[in-house]
Amino acid sequence: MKKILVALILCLGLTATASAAGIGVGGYGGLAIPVVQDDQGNGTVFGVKAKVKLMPGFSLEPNINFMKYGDADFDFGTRKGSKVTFYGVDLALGGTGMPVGPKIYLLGGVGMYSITRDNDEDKDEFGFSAGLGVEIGVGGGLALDIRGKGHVIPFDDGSKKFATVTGGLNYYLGM
Amino acid sequence: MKKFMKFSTIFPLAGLLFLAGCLVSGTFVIDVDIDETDVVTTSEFKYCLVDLTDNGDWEDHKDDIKYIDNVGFELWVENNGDAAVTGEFYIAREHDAGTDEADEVRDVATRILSGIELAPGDNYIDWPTSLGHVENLDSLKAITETGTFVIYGLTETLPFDITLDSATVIVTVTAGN
Repeated sequence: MKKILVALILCLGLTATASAAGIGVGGYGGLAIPVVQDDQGNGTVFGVKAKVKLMPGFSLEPNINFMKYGDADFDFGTRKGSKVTFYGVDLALGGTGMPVGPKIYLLGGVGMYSITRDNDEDKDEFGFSAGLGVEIGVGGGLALDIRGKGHVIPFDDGSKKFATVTGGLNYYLGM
Repeated sequence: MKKFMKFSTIFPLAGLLFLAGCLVSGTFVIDVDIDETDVVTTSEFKYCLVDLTDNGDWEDHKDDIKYIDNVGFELWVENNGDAAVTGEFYIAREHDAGTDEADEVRDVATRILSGIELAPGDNYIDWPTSLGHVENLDSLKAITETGTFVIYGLTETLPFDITLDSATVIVTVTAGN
């Protein structure tokens, strides 16, 4: 809970220090896809983010996400998927806060990932992500945002990996 | 400004490359049937050799295992008696010829599973349920990594009458380069 509060304060702090024309907020949801993790199934993710424009074509995105893997089925039984809460900051390179029309952007980010699952040890680990998205301005400060990201959580010489594919809506203040 | 632009361009691209590099590792679930099941017993303990090295999946990953995520069991074991039976499992690297009594097993082996109760007529303990009863996980993981080990099934509920139809050890490993 403390970490979530810190993330929210970070979001608010960054938002407060940017000019009104360069601020956006967004909500999104989509698919969570485990990568080479036999013990997890496809699941869902949703989250919220702030978008803080640093300069034309560059923005910071503090974000918080709530993910649930799907169940993993085997001949010998079914395991319920893990819950993952992660928050962090992404750097977006490309279209943001744009006028009407589509723009492609690259993403790179860091974050803290909290993983819980029945009968497994809870884990809080630092992780990385990168991806690609397209934002489609529809006017009135609104934009559709579709993105795919890959996430890596390294620990104990190994790593857990997953991809997210999300769609959502961004709203830019003062546009 | 130029430095910032350069960094900002490299950062996402480096992230993508990092992701690609990490894709060579993964998490795998390996199941191994325990030999010597199909046993009817009224003995207070039985032991079984578990040999993961015969398993193709284990062979594929044994040289690059990063860690064992967890170890669980699936048991088809029927309680033929009139009273509930409480069982516990112990693990050891190999069967010690001296451990032919339940008390000796308790002295020299590591308890990895306890608190499982089988009511009269019950016949199945599933994988997720077994995970909820696992203990001494660090020892269990360390011994499992060796690939071969002995599991002892013990009970303090005497007398009893069970039929052990089949048992499977399920090991989740994270492996990769």
